[in-house]
Amino acid sequence: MIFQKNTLATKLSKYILTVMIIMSVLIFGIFYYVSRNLILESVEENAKNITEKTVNKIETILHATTKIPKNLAYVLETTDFDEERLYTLMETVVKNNEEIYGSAVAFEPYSFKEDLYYYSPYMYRDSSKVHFVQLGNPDYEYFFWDWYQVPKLINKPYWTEPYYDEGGGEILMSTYSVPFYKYENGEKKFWGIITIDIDLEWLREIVSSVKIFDSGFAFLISKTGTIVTHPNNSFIMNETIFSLAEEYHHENLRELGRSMIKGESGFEHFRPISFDEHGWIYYSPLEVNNWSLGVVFPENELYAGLYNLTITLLSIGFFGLIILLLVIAYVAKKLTDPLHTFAEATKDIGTGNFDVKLPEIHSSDEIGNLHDSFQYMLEKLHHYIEDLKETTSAKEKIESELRIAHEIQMGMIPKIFPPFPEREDIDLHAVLQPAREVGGDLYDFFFIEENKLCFAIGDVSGKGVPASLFMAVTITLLRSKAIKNASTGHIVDEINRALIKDNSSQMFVTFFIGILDLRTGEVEYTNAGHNYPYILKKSGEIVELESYPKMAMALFDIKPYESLKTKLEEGDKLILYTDGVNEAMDANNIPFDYERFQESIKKLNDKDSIRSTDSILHDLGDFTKGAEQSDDITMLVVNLKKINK
Amino acid sequence: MKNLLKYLTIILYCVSYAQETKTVTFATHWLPQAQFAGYYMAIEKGIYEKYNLDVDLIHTGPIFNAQNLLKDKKVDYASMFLSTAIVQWSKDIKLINIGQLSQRSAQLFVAKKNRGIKEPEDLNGLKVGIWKSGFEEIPFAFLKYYNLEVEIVPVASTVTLFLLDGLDVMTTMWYNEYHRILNSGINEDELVTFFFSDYNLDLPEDGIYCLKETYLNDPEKAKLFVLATLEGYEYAFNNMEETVDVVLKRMREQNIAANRAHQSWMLNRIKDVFTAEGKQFKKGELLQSDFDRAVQVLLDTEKITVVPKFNEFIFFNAE
Repeated sequence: MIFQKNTLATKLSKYILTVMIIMSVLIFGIFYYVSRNLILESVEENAKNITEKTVNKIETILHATTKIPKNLAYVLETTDFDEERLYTLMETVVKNNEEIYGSAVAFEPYSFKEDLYYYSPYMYRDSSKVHFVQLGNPDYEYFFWDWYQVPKLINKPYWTEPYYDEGGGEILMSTYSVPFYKYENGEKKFWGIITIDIDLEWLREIVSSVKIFDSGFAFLISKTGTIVTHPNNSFIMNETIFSLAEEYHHENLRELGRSMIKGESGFEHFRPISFDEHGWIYYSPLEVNNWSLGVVFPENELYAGLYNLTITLLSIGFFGLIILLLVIAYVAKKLTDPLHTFAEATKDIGTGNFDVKLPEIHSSDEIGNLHDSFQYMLEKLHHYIEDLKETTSAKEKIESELRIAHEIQMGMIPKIFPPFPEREDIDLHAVLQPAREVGGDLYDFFFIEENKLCFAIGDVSGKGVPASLFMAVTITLLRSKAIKNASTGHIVDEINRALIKDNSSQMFVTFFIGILDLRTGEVEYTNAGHNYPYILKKSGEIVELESYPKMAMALFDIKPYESLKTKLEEGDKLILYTDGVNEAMDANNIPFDYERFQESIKKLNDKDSIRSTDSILHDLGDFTKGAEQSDDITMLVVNLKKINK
Repeated sequence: MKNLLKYLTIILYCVSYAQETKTVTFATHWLPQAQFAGYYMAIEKGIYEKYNLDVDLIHTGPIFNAQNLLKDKKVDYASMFLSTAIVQWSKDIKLINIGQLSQRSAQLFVAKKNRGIKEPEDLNGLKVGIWKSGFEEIPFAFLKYYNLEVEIVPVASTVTLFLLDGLDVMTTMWYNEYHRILNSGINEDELVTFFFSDYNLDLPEDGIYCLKETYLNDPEKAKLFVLATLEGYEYAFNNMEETVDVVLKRMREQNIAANRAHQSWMLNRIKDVFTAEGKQFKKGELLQSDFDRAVQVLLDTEKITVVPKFNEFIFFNAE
């Protein structure tokens, strides 16, 4: 369950274990490599010591032995002797030297006695007695045997290849042959060979006493590669190192053998034929007879300590990793269990249930912090939702009130069109589209006398409820101040003064008021900071109803507003509007502006007032393409159809 | 009809000899080794027994040789080199060939390459080891044909003197001493070889011989012995591993140093010279051309003065 895909425990385990394994492999690899090299170095040193010590031991004994026939040769070469003296000397040699099994003095044909072709007395030990025999006879022509012929022809003492003793016993022997010479007329002439037969059992014992671990061993080969001693007895005297190499198809062994018989020393890696595994060999020559000693170290035993340590370390590492895995799983579970509860709680909270129970956490770690934050969030969310409920109900209340305000506002401006259906002289239409629920724009129209139509348009600074209230006040004031015979300038003055009072919020309203005399077509008007209305002449000409710039209402009462006059002809249209029209913007914040507005107005010539406002709103809609309306849009179109003369 | 007669003959042949087991004494011309594997296998596998022969096999060596055993009638039959046999015949030991085993010469001179020897002429003035115990006729012929003045060193049997540089050149058998040299640590590419077979001296070697009177006393026994021996060799060549085991066992019984690598080599080379691929001959046959060439060589080297006629020398040319 813990190690499901994508859980925190799985991810943690994956990363930590990967890093741990890489680190372990690296550390372990380096450790193994360095240890192995250290072991190998010490093994080489050790191998060298063992080999050289053994070689020295053997050589010391052989050296001492080789002096005996050499001394005898010196005696024979430098003194006169007869048969009796010769036998005495030989007997002494055999008697006094236990390691010597037998000794021969073999002469060249006819050189000891003129009538004797063969002359080779041989003394040998049997039990404790010394026996005598003559070696030479037609069946045993000693002159042609290695022990005689080799030292004679190479002019050097010679150790024969080892052999088993004649008696057929398993005693390993070797004959050491020393040539001796006769000096006649100052000329050195080969005279014969002195031999000693040496029992090599002691040598075999020395070599086989070299024990290297369980299966390591030492072996000795002769000058021609013959195995002299080896733990495998069947090799001795039967095999050469080269015949073994051939039988086991072991080319390296042949090369090793060649190095050994050349008298070289070395330390080499190789596969001994008696092992399944590789080993190391140190070899060194025996100077005295050119044989060579090899000491073999089995690799598996050499590194046995290291292997054991390796296995121990690997086991520790393996179990360590398992324990680590379990610890990660435990910790991850401990860490993530609260998270699961949090997740469940969050789902509950999502459904609006704030009474969920959070896990009990008393630690001061991140999970503790999370718990506290979650608790805090829960409380805050609870309060927030409570507040939200209250706010929402308040807002709903306000919205409902605003809706009522809007209705009241709309109720304050004339909304029945056509307003004067019975009249044939005038056609009027107005629209007000507030940007928000309630707006600050206003318009109004009414007759103050039978033939005098008063109309007005205005725009309160700001928007919303304050603006709408201000607008309501303005309309109320307009209604009360626009009385018979009052000039537009006077009306505006009156309204302005009334507005200034108690205008602590510094709101203001731009305002245009006109009174059209339907008998003359004359229009008296006053503009308090409002956009100039347009007159669309019947001819199609557009005239801007200019006036001196005047201050908007509700700000100052410095100078009275004055009344201006203009005259409309039959068929002329007077178009009043607020800046919500010309400042209406499209999605790129480009305003509708006066040029487009005038173009739109030009299209109104044959249209009545209601279609005129519709046409302009249509053009406006085409331009803004549904972009959010930022200001109230208000228009009032007065179409003078007829002058009542 | 012809086949029926043949079978009848065989049956009669078998019946007439079935009852009587004949005793044979035989001597090889050297110490136990794979060269004589055919005799061993004929004994081991009961081939001689099948031919109603009870063979007592003895080995000679460097100290005493086979021809003397024949002469002294110590044995009925003996193996021998062709050249040795003709020389003996010339010396009035009237030996006859009853079966030829080898069809090629396996003898060669070996020298170390580092002595600068390349051609036969380079041997002039050098120390040449030649066996003291026989088999020396062809090496001498080689020296004679090339007019080589060398210092002959008679050697008993080993190659030690050559290995230790006591000799410049050594006579060897391809199947024996040559391989011993390799197995003493000298590589083939460090050696120069003069195979006598490459120098118009390709004379067959091992054959089975007996005194003429021995043969005439019981020609059938001689024939059976040769046929059984040929069968023994055939078995040996077809079962090398088993044969080498037998050879090693025999050698060890006689306390002779032996190893598998060397005996395997020897058996393979013996097979090469006995089967002589590319040469036309009947099994066990000594070709008259080989005989004539041998006689000529021995005459040229003055090893013989009296020449046997082919039909005086060959009494049973096997198959």
